[in-house]
Amino acid sequence: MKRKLLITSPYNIAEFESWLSDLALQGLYLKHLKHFFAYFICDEPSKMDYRVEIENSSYCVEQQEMYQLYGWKKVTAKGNITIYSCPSEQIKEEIHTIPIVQSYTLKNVKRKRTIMSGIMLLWIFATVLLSLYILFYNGTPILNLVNDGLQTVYCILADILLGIICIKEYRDISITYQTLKNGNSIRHHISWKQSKVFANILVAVAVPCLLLMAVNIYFSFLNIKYSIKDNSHTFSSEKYNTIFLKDIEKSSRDTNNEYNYRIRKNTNIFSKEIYHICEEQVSPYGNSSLETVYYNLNFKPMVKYTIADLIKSDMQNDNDKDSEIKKINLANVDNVYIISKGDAVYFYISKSNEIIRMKYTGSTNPNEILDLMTTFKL
Amino acid sequence: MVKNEPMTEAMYYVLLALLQPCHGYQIMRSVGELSCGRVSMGPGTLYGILNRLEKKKLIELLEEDSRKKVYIITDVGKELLVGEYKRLLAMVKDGQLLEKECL
Repeated sequence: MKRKLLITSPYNIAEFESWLSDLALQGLYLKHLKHFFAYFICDEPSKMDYRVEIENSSYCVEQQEMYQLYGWKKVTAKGNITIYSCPSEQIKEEIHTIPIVQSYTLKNVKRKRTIMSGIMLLWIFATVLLSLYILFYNGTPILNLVNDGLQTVYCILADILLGIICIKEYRDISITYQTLKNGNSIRHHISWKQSKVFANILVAVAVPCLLLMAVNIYFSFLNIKYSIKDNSHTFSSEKYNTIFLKDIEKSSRDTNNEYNYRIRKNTNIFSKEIYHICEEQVSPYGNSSLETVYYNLNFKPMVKYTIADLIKSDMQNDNDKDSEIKKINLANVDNVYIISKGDAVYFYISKSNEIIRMKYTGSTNPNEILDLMTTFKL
Repeated sequence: MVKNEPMTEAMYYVLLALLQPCHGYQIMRSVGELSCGRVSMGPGTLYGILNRLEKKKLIELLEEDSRKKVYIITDVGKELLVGEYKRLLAMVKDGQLLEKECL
């Protein structure tokens, strides 16, 4: 049994029949059809004609017998499509002798496909818009990519692919229907090379799409594994390459207050590791909090743009746009930027492929926090 | 066939054949006999016409089993067939001019 990708939908009757006949000349005889593939048995090459029947009502035995009487043997059926074959020299009569009558069999299918394609295209249009909105949300596409991986890109590609298939199938039905309606018979032996090229292009788009989907699924599993919500006080900060609220507050006041941690960890194609840490402390000296996001990127060129997008994302309000960005030189890291905004101080630190963005709210002087950063393990 | 659709030759003969209850194969034979072998149609065409005529209620199912379906013309079908026959007669009558001029 040999499997071949369908070069066109069976609704493109002329090309589909021609394709099957040409394969029979190579010794491949259709056995059955599945969604995207046709299965063939191998035998001696011969001249075989195939006919595609599109029918909305069920066949009675007599009808099948009648087809056989004229030499047409049922090969396979899928949905409302039935395929018949007959050795070319044994054809007594064509299955369809009046094109306009054959067009009636396509009328309902065409109507249903028009409605379905319309709904499908609207859905595709909506999801593409939504995906683009998610990708360009806040005007920070690189940051959104780094946070979400290729999920949105994959969605857009898959939607475009689905849209193309939808339009192509609708076009196939429309052309076949119009040909028959105009009184022209189906040509059973025509070139199908163009459709094959088109199918190959579709495959070239579909394969990366499927690979992206597989990568996406792989990272989803990793994220389930990584998803940690740790609110315990015994939490070990050693395994995270960042400073913690406890370190900051201890450096200014030697208190033993209790801290709440919330940690979310994930990974995707762009980042080996991402973690979001939210810490809060309530003490008689005043409340403080620290939000940390850590990225370990796979692609170094993305570092610069991710920091730019992080700053842009944090400074969304018009009032924030005037906030001064201070660039600090620290010995053991590549870049440090500090922005003060209201009660909060934002730190953006990068070294090689690693980025840390911290938002600190509290009474500790930012310079003291900078001193702590010199002990960074980045 | 209905107001704005023309009746094809094949449909005309199928309706003629169904003045008597017939199943698919009998219809095919009757059409051949009635047209003296002039009209031949493929099996797909025949069943396409039968489906179409049934949907338009010009014919109806008289008997059905898993093997075959027996059809007969309806009153609406007969009316349409008579109308078509009259139209064809009128056309032949009009065409008699040809006999004097050309034949």
